[in-house]
Amino acid sequence: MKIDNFNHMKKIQNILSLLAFLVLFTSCEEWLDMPSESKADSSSIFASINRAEMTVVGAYPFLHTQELGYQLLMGTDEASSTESNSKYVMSNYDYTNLTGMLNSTYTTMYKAIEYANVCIANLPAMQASSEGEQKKIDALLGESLAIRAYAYWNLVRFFGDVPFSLKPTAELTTFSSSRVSRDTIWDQCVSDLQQAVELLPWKSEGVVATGERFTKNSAYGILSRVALYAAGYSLRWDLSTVPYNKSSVKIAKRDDQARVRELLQIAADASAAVIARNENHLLSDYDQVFRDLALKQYNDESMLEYGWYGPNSVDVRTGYTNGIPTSGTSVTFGKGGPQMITMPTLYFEFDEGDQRRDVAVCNFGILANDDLQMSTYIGTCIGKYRIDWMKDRGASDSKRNINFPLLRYSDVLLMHAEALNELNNGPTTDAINAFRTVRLRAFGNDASKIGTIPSGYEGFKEAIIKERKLELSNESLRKTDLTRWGILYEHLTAEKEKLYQLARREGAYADVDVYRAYKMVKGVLQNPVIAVPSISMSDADIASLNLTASETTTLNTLNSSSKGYLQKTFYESKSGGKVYFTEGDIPADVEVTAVPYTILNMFGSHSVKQKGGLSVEDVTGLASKNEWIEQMFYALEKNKVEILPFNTTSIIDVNPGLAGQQHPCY
Amino acid sequence: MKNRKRSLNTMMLMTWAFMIVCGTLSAQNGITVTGNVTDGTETLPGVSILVDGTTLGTITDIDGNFTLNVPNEKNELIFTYMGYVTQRRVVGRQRHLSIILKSDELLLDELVVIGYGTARKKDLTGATSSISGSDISQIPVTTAAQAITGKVAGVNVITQSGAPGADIQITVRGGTSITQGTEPLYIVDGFQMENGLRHVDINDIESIDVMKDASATAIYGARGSNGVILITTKSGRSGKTEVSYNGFVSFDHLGKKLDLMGVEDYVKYQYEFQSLRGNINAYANFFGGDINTPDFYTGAYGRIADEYGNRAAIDWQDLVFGNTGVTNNHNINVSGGSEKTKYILSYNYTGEDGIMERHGYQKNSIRSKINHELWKGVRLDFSSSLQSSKIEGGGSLGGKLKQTILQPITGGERWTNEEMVSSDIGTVIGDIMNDANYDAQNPILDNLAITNEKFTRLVNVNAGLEVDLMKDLTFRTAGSYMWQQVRQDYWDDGSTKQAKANKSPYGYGSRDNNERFSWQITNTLNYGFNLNELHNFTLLLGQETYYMESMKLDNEYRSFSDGNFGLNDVSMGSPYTWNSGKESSGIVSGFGRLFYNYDDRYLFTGTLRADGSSKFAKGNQWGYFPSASAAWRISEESFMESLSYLENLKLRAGYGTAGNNNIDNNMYATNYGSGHYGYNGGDFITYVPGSTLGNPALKWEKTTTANIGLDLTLFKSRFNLSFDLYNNESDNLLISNKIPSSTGYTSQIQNLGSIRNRGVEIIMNTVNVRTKDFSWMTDFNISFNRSKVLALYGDSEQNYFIQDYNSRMGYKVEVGSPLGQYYGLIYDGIYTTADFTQNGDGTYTLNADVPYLKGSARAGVKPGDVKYVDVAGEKDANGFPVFSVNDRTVIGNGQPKFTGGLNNTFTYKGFDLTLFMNFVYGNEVFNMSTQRFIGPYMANQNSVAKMANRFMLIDPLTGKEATDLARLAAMNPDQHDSSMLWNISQNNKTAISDHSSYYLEDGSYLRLNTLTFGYTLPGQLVQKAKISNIRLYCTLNNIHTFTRYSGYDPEVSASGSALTPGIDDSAYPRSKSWVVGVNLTF
Repeated sequence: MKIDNFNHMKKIQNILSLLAFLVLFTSCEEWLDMPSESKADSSSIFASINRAEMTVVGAYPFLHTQELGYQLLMGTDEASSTESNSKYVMSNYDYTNLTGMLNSTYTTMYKAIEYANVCIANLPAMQASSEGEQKKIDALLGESLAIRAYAYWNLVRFFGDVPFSLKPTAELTTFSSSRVSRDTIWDQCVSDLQQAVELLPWKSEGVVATGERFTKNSAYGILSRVALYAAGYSLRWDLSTVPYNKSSVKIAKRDDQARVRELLQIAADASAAVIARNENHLLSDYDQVFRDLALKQYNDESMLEYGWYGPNSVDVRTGYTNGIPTSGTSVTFGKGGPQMITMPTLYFEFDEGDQRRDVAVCNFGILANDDLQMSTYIGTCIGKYRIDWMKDRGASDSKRNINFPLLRYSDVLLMHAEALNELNNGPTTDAINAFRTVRLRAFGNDASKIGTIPSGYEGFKEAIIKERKLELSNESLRKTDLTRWGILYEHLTAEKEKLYQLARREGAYADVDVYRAYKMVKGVLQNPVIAVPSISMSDADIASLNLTASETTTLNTLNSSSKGYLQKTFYESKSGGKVYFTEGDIPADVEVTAVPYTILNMFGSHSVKQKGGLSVEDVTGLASKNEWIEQMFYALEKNKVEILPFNTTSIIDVNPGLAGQQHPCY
Repeated sequence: MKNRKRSLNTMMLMTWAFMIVCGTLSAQNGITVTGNVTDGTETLPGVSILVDGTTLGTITDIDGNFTLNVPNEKNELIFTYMGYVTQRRVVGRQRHLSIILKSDELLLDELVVIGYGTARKKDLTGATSSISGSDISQIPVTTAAQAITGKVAGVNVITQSGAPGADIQITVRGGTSITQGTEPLYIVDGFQMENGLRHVDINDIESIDVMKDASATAIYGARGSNGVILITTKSGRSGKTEVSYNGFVSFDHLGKKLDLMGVEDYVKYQYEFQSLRGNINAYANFFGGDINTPDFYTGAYGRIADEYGNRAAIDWQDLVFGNTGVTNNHNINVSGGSEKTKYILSYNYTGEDGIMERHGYQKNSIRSKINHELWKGVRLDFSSSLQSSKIEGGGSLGGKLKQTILQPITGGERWTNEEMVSSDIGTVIGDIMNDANYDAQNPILDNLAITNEKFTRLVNVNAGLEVDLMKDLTFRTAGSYMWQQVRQDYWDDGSTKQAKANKSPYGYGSRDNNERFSWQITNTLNYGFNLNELHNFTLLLGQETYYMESMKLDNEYRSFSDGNFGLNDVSMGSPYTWNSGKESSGIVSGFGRLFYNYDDRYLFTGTLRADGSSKFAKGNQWGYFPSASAAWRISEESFMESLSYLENLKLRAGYGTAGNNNIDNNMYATNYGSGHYGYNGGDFITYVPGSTLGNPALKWEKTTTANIGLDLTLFKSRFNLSFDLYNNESDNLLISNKIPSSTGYTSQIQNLGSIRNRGVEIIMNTVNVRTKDFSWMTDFNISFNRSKVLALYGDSEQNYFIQDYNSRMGYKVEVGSPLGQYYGLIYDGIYTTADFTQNGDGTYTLNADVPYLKGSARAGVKPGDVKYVDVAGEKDANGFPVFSVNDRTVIGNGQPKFTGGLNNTFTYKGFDLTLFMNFVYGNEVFNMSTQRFIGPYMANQNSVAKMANRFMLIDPLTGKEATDLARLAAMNPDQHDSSMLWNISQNNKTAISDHSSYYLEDGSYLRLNTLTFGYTLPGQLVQKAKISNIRLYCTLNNIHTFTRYSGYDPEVSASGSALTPGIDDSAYPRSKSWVVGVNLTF
């Protein structure tokens, strides 16, 4: 019995094992094919038009970075760092960190370029089943070309000559790549954008719903921008010898004069095409442009914006590193942690009545109890990316869902004016009209306030240089605008002198308010407030308060954030309008309400965010020389800082082609 | 070995039995027998003699003589002696017995597990090290991996930190591969299991066999190149039921504290820090004084001395890591069975409370194993295990350690120490000091607020059926199924700064689930036969299939309402992010092996394996891995017979290849996952490729090993030596290589190049003293490994590439050089006042021959700034020497020159004493902690004590920066001393992140690892309690480490990659402990 069983078992075993052998060996080739079930690959991403669209749009998140709204945005006449770390160092053009320079913009732009390259290589092979589908494929190709050009623009304006590839990486035989002349890259960007303009639909055609993606309108605008950069100045050196010869470093336009003119013409024509189409317009309220960015509303002025939404979005920190400062954490707003202040001079650049001033320069910070605390001159922050213009707190404190403006119609108008001025050695009527359109909106269409528009080449150019600051401040264009005009060093050196003048209350700043009084206002979401209203107080007004000696000292102590202000009760007339500083001032027949006010020494440091103090030795209350102004742009050096060096460890070390190709001054 | 251990125990019992006998029964009547015991040549002292069936007995004296009273002539005497075959002898009529004991060759006949079978140790031809379960189970550690630390030559075990449940990194012979993983392959009872040494309970281990060279590992082909660790679990034995209990309790405390600045130095440091940054107002705001008063500056240092000279510092290290941790480990196992059926059931509990609150590790595991003979020639085996563990506190502690060290040690004039400790001052400091980057949150409160738990559940079921198809032909089919769930819960109760930023004042958290299963089916045929009794053959043919699938689902929830139940009811919060994934991989294999043995003298092994792996694209899936090895047992030759002291001499040589496919799945393709873009008011889902570029050309990594070894046993096994020389060459190295970011990706898995690891391993076991009551045994092992990069195939002409670790330190991988080379700048001390010339206006100028940092302002250089050696000899445009990144060079190596262990065991009667030491020599450790804790970092943060000995720029007399060189020299009398640190001006902002030799330290150490003192209770006492064996012991762990390393511990490894060894990334400090335990067998 047992033996039988055994034999039986044996047979079964033999058969089973044979079967197992056979089955497994014959089918294992197929069995081993285990593609990912949670990821697509290059064979499946262009399987349908919808998937192709997902792939094209996949490149957009890489067109903007935290650095572009932070380290690379500040260090101009528009904003400065409040930190004492690597960002402060960047802000002041000290690029000597041995290994740790910025690299995320570099890395991120190349991602956008690679993703676009893949699309550009694959989209033309897609088969359309209808004319509508073909249009869609064409539009996607147009978007891809525009994305690539935009990303290269961001690279070249900061790094100059950079590695350059138009092929998907998978098709390359080597990953190593060296610097390629920026002129070659610019020319490619221009021709890519020219092709994109042909392929893309106008915004009004409705193929693309919002300015978060390229349309013919924004492709024209970016074409104009890229052409102006390509025709402008930059820091150049001889690329033909490695290691580079430091003595070849110079600021210059490209050699080919004819091409420069051609590029200017391209810029003028591209912007003209947008203007002629008449689809885009300036909003009458300047603040609405930026409220819309915070509210995910769309308008005709904002032509290209960086779409930022949700917890899974790229961490670009708009509104956090460059928004309104908060002290502590309020439940309504959460924390805003801007690491920048607007340059104190920026506020004074605006003419009286310019609605852009209080939008660009936010004059308050938010306290933990939601009160809006007015800031001193040195504590004002960038006002375009405000957390209190939103409907809610956004995805998280550092992910606020605020879109970043990449191209606005006013920029197109100013580029048009600039290109025509350059081409014709003076402003044409079109140029003046474009310029006037921008000024008129700023002053609520009151032509009497916009001042005289210069008619000569130099004057008009100066006006453009200033107007671009007033209109486009802190939209991450200024540093490279100044570079392409070849005036970075001179302009910022002059700016530093202006800071001293302001601190000494000299020259143009002789009569600026020293004291202002304001009352606390509660902040709310979708805040109607643009600026905390305040009353100017003269020295005489202060004298009339009969302050004690200690109160006077407190009010005039400028170097302490816990001093430099006083809380007093003022009297507002019930009929409105008039505020009386003391009871003695109130006329007998006027009914008043007692209201607590804060008197703020505008040169003091009592702000939610500030760095240093804004005053120098001969001003009351100061203990020593002004370190902050002294150190402003401390490493600014002509023919050197106009181009950033490469990060050693994450850019040069990993790319053999860049060995010995560091910026020759570093 | 197991058997040997048992005989040892038996012998001890008998010895005690004898002593009792001597004491109580010597007066009894009977036959007196005398005798002498030898091994044929020498007399044997201490041989135990027992009268069978009684408790009568004795032991031989120093000359091998004995005298014993026996009841009658029919009695049988049992002679037992360690290392010798036990002999039985009926008394008979003789009154004087001459006994010759034969050497016990058990050691050499011991079976060793090899792939898909076992072999007698003496028949091995490859390089294999074995360690028996009984050798490690008495060591009071919670994982087997810790227990084998320093005990196996060529196996390097690094516990990544002292955190409860910390990861353990194991490399065999330097890790032949440089992929992300140098993990060896773990085979538990024939089945692949990840992290086997961690997952199998130490008490369940029968033996661990480490296969080191390719001739041994080639049978595992594709996965063998990093070595194979075979773990065999205990099985039941037929006979009486045995119950044993092993347990210990351990008390742990912080091994070492870092030396930090005291209060007065700290406040001076803050004064200088803020002065040099023009933020003196912020200093005054915190530490007192009115900057507008005339003597603020001149009186500053005096006030600091008055106010802070006697103030007590907050000892954050003590507050955070000062607890006494308690570890409990209990194991019970029951085993037994009949001739046909054997079983074992084992349960283990481990509970570790870390030295930090809310950090711990708990594990419960149960394992069973049944072997049953169904019919003659048909055997079934089945085993299963269930394990459930929980790590609390999130393992590594880099962040919390940093917070602990950087904490302000005084609240200045604002807060008392109590307030500092009990409230979240960190947030307030950030606001008051207007520094949003201030990052030292109160680690105590953070720790209380955050619950971080990782639960792992692991189920393993194995079953096998073995059939003797005919004489010497056995077929075995076996299957295994593994299922594992890992759940990671993170919960912040809402009180942290982060919770507020996350809109979650009532808490937020995440739950990540990872589930995977694998199965394996193995079929083998084993056939052994011989010709003419001299030619012995064993043939193995087999086939195997392995499949693994994993799925994950991760969710984060925020904005919980008040009164919520945390992660137990997430509907009270809102989903924030969620993602999931699925992966699968498989291997199909066929293999064969031939053993040939001629007359026990000449041995030969040949193997061939073919593996197909799903990790490669079609066409590159299959790899073939042959090997051959041979051994010559010289001691069996007739011409050696005259050397009677020589027991075994064997020469081994092997050559073979093994493979490695230890990379992530689907790396042959560029994988597009989901992306997100804000479009039209919502979230537009996109396709985005990851940061890794696919590589369709990927193929197997292959390692070819040549190994020559010698085994020697002398003097009745009292001296054992194994000596191995090896040469491993790995080609087509699979590595995640950084590629230029201008490609749009950061890395690609590539078959990058080839490296060689060459080395020597020596293992020695000696019995130094063996007398009646006392024995002393020594185990020693040492291994030397040298690596060399032979080729890099990269796509450029360059023969090197540079890899960095988190941008903190560089490594240069260069053809012709070893792996692990640190690459950076050579620290050249600080600029002294002698490097400058005083100018008329009171300023100073750097002397023309002194280099400065390229690109920086030469005029800005200050005495006390960091200087690096100008290796390249570059000059600036004005002809001044400069240093720059071009001066980077190789500054050290993270690979040790040799490592090893020394274990001494002493026994005296029932007492045993074991001292284990391990050592590592000749490597440098990158002290990333120093790099992180040294200044200038951020205001209001403390630093290490040596920062107090820095170059001072602020003159204590004026309270302002001095620019007079003579004054600076007077203020810094030690400025020429190389141990003086740099000043804390903005100039040295990058000194704390530069890849410099300053942060490399000698990582050599000799650790007094464990000292165990045990006592086995005398048999008499024990038997009354029906206990067959009881041993009590206590152990001191991590007693002392002799090292020059200044960090917590030189045994570090933050990175698992062979490219970036030797990083001390602020791991949870390793604790010291003392342990009490018991081993009990019923």
